[in-house]
Amino acid sequence: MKKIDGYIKLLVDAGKATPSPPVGPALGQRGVNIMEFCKAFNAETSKMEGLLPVTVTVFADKSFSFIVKTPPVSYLLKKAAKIQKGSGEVPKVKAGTVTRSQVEEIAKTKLPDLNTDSIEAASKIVEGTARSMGIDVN
Amino acid sequence: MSRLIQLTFKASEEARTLLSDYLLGLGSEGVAEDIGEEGGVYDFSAYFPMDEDLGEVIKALKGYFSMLKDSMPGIEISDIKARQIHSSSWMVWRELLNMVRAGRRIVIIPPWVEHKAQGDEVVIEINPSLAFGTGHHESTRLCLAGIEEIIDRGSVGSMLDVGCGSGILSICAALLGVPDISGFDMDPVAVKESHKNAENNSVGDKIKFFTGLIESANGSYDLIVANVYVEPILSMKKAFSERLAQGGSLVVSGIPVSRGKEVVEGLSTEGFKVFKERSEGEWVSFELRKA
Repeated sequence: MKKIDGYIKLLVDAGKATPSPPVGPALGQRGVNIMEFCKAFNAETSKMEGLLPVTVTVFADKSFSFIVKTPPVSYLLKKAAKIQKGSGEVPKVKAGTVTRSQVEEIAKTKLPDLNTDSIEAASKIVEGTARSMGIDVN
Repeated sequence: MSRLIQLTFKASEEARTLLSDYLLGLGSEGVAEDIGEEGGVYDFSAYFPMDEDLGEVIKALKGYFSMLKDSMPGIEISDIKARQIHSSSWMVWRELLNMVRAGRRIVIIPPWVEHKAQGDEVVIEINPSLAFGTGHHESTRLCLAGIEEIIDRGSVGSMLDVGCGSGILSICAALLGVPDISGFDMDPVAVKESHKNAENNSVGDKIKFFTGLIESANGSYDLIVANVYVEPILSMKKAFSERLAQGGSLVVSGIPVSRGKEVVEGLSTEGFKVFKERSEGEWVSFELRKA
């Protein structure tokens, strides 16, 4: 019996999960055994590199499972636009620019997570996210 | 003491992935999506460092909400709130995962809790981890209570643990003296956890755990326990019937009270009759025997 209580999404460096933020506060408040998560995540990602999005599923009895997923749209957009952060003052302040082909590439990468089979629909979502972050699409 | 900003709001399920992605892109250090009490609505918590400009974050988030509402009609997002929390508040997990009791004398503890058995208590140490069965759910406690009562009523020579998870039910049976125990799970991670937990409770040599399905369990058992869910219970009813020894007991759990009747009726087609019903909160467990 595995009743799901919720999901926690984090960006964690491969092989370097520790109880400090973001892992600690997000998991700890839900009663997840943080040390066990760190141990399991670090073992699974020991041969990977970079910041990895991980989805932790928390079950009703505080046991958990996790999967390492494709990077978030916003993360891929920032990488493509070569910026650290999106704009907080949209549309007044622009944060950067990406090309239409970069948007399509991101849409293809994220297709499994976007509840659609259409690249066109996925691209629209990616474009919308870009606009909300102050990133122009040319 | 360093602090964090916790931003919370509610949103409908369709927007779940996109919102988490966006929050991480805005600089959130982590996003939690909790399934709310109302179906299809999630409670979001996003954690930001204190040096983040919260005004900017909320403004950007509201802009994103508008974009989502335009492109995905029907989605609902509401109740944005912000508060400061201590970054050390994660330490609460050790308090949430404390000692728990089941049945008359079973005590389940995590490794960081010390508890010496008082009187006839049976103490089981389970490290809450990657497999279901920490003792912090009603369905597990109902099963433990059933196992304890059946063993106390008379001798149980063998037990099959269907969907063993953390191995807690098998470990309990071993500690209560059942000599021949097999447990299996489809998930190899669960089986690995079962082995670890059995070793930690010094009963590793008394239980055979394996990855697989019930078809791989070829014996005949005095007691079969299945803490799974309604659908798997009903799909395995014939397999239960074939493997239960004459006069044996079947304990099924993981059943919401609202679906109890469906399980009892389903199992009755294999000749199972309810001998005892146990319930806690919204969960029910049945002890059945063959007519």
